[in-house]
Amino acid sequence: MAGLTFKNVVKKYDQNVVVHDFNLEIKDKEFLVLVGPSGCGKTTTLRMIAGLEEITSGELYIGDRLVNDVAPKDRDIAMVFQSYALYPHMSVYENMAFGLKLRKIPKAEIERRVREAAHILDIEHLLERKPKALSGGQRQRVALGRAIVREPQVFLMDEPLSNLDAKLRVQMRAEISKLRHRLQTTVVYVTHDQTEAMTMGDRIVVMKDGYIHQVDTPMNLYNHPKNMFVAGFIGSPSMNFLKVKLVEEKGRLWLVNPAFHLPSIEERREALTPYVNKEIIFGIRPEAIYDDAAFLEANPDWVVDVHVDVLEPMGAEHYVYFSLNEENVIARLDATSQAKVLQRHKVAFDMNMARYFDMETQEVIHRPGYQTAY
Amino acid sequence: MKKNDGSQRDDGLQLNEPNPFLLQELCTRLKQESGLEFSPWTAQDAPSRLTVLQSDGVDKDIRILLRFNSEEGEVELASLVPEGIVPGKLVSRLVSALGRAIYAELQREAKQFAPTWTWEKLLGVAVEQQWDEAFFEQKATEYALPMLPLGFPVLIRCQNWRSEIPMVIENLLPQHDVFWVYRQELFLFVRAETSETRTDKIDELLVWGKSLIQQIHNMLADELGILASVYVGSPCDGLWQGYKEVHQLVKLQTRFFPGEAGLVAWKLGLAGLLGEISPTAIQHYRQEMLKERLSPELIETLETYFAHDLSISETARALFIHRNTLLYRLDRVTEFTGYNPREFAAAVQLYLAVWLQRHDQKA
Ligand SMILES: Nc1ncnc2c1ncn2[C@@H]1O[C@H](COP(=O)(O)OP(=O)(O)OP(=O)(O)O)[C@@H](O)[C@H]1O
Ligand SMILES: [Mg+2]
Repeated sequence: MAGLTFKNVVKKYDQNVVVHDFNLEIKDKEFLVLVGPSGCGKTTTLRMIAGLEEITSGELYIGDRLVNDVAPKDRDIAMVFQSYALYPHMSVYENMAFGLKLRKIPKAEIERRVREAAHILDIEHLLERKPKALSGGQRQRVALGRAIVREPQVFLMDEPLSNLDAKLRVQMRAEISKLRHRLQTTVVYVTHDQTEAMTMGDRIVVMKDGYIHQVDTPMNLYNHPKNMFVAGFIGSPSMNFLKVKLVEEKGRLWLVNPAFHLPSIEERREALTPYVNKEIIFGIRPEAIYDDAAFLEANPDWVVDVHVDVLEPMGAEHYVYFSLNEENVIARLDATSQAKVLQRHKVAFDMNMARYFDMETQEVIHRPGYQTAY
Repeated sequence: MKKNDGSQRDDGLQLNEPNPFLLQELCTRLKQESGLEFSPWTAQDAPSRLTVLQSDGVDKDIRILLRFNSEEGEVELASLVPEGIVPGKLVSRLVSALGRAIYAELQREAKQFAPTWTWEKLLGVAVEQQWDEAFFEQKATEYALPMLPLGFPVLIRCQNWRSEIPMVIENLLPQHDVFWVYRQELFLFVRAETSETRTDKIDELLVWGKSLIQQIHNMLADELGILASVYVGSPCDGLWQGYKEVHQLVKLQTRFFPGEAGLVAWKLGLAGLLGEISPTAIQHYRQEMLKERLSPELIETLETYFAHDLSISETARALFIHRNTLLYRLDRVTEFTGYNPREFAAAVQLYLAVWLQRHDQKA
C-alpha cells in the first residue's frame, strides 16, 4: 500500500505539451478521481503512473520510490479498464490466475489469492465457469478479480464503467466503492463523468487542457469552485453564469443588468468592493433558484420576473428554462411548481448561494468559509 | 500457433514451374557430381536458347543444356563449359540423365520434408517481395491454402516487445485463422463468428469488431505493461486486402489520431477522406480558410460553436460568455476569413479547416 507523488511532471509529444507541470500528492488508501473533458490528459496521466508512457520531465514516486525509470511490470500496480476482456477458453479461476502465472507466482500462492478475491467479490460459485456463461456484471467482477489477485500498491482505473448500461453502471459504481473499502488500497480513477467523480472520489482533480484547475473534495468543488471552469463542470445541470454590473446604491452592493437588480449579501461586500462599477460574472446554481410562495415572500429583493421558454418534468422536480438579458438560465424547481411554458413566472435567486467571478481571469472573487481538504 | 495441414499439394494440382528451391539444390549437387557450374535457365537467356536447341544440346557459346520433364514441369538448366572443351551430344545426354536422377531423389526427399505452405508463410514472402493482390490470390490458390471465413484483419503494433505477447493474444482471441508475428507487429485474421457474435447481424458484428481495440490494448497494458495500438480492418475474407487495409489505418492514425488506442476501418469519418489528399493541398486549404490571423480564441470559439450544433445560446453558455460577445466573435471570423460561420455552407468549410487544424499532425 502506498501513496503517489507527482513533482513538476510534464508530458510532451514532440513540441506539444499535453500535461503541464503536474504537482499532486495522493495519499495512501485514497480514492482519487481525475475528471475533465475529452483530451485534457487524464489517460496520459494514468499511463505515466502505469509506466506505459515515459515522463518528459519531473518526478513520479510510488510510496518513497522514484519510478521514472521503473518498468511497468515492476511498479506494483494493476489496471482495470472499461472493456471487461477475459480469456474465453479459460475458466473464471484460470482467468484470474493467468496474470499471476505470467509473473511466476508459486501455485499455492496463486490458489490462495484467487480464492480470496473470489470471496471478496462473491463469485466463488462461478470459478469453474467459462466467460460466455456469465452475465455482464459477473464478467466485470471477474475483471476486477484479475486486478485484485495481484495485490497491487495502486489500482488504476480508466473509465471502467463507461460502456455499461445505466443500471449496471450504478451497480458497478457501488461495487467499486464497496471494494475499495474492503481492500484499503490507493485508487486512481479516470472518468469524464462528473456524477461518477462526485459519488466515488475522496478527492477530485479537475483538469482541462493538461492543467490542474482544482484538487478538492467533492463538496468543496461544489460549494467552493476556484474558477468558472470548475463551477461549470461540477454539478448538473451546470451553474448559470450571468454578466452583471456591480453598483453601490443606498449603502448596498447591487448586481445590475437589463433584466434585474439584485442585492448582494452584506458578507460579500468587502471582497466585492474593488469591483464596484465594473462588470463581473454572477454564478447561481439551478438548485439555488426557487419559486415557492414562502421563499418569495421571505426574500422580496431576490425575486425576478421571467418568461418560461421550456419546461422539462423530471419526476421529483422540473427543469425550467428561461432567458435573462439574452442569457439562458436553468432552474431546478420542485415538481409542485406552477411554472407554465411560454408564460411569465416569478422566481427568486438565493443570494446566499451566489458566486462571483472576475471577468478577465475567470477566477472566483471570494470563497467565504472555504477550508482546504487536507 | 495455427498450422495448416499442408497436404494439399498431393491433390493433383498441376504446378507449372518446378520448385525453385529444388532447382537450386539440383545445381549444387550436379556440381558435386560433375564439377560443372549449372544455373537455372531463365527467360533472359532466351535469345541463345534457339541456337542451343538447333545444335541439339550444345550451343555456340559452348554450353551444356540440361532439359527434361518432371511432374511439376520442364526442368531447364545450363552450364558453360571450360574453355577448350567441346562437349558432344553424349555428354549432354549423360548430364541430363544424371540431372534427372538427382532431381528424382530430391523430389523424394522434398516430399518427406515438404515445407507446408501456410497463410503466415505466404504473407511473409508476399511482404518481402511486395506482391500485388492478384498475385497473392493466385499463389494462395496454387498452394491450395484453406479458404478463410468472414473475419476481421487485425494489426497489433507494440511500443516494446516481450516474448509473452503472442501467448497473451492467442489466449484472448483463440478464434484466429491466421496469426503472424513479424518484427514487433502481430497480424491476425480473427473469425467473425464467435459464441457472442453472428455473421448475419452486421451491426453487432461491427460493435464487436470495434471492441477488439480496447480488449487487446487493455489486456496488453495490464498483463504485460505494453502499450499497443490496434487496427481493425473491415470484415472480409481476403487476407492480402485486409493486410493492406490495416496498414493504411496505421498511417491515418499517426496522422490524425495519435492519442487513440487504435482505429477501425469503418469509422474513419473525415480522416478516411482527407487521408487521401496530399498534405500540401490540405495545407493550402487551411491557409486559405483560416489565414494566419485567426487567434486561438477564435478557433476555440468556432470549435465550441460547431460542437453545440451552431446554437448561439448553448455555445455562449459553454464558453461562459454573453451571447453578444459570441456574436461579436463570430463576426470577427467572418471578417478575417470571408466565411460567415452562421451560414451553413460557410460553416461546413470552416468546420473542415478547424478540424484539420486540430487533427492533422502534418500541419
Ligand atoms: N501518442 C500521442 N501523440 C500525440 N498526441 C497524443 C498522444 N497521446 C495523446 N495525445 C494527445 O494528448 C492529449 C491528451 O490525451 P488523453 O488521451 O490523455 O486525454 P483524455 O483526457 O484521456 O481524453 P478522453 O476523455 O477523450 O479519453 C490529447 O490532445 C491527445 O490528442
Ligand atoms: Mg482517456
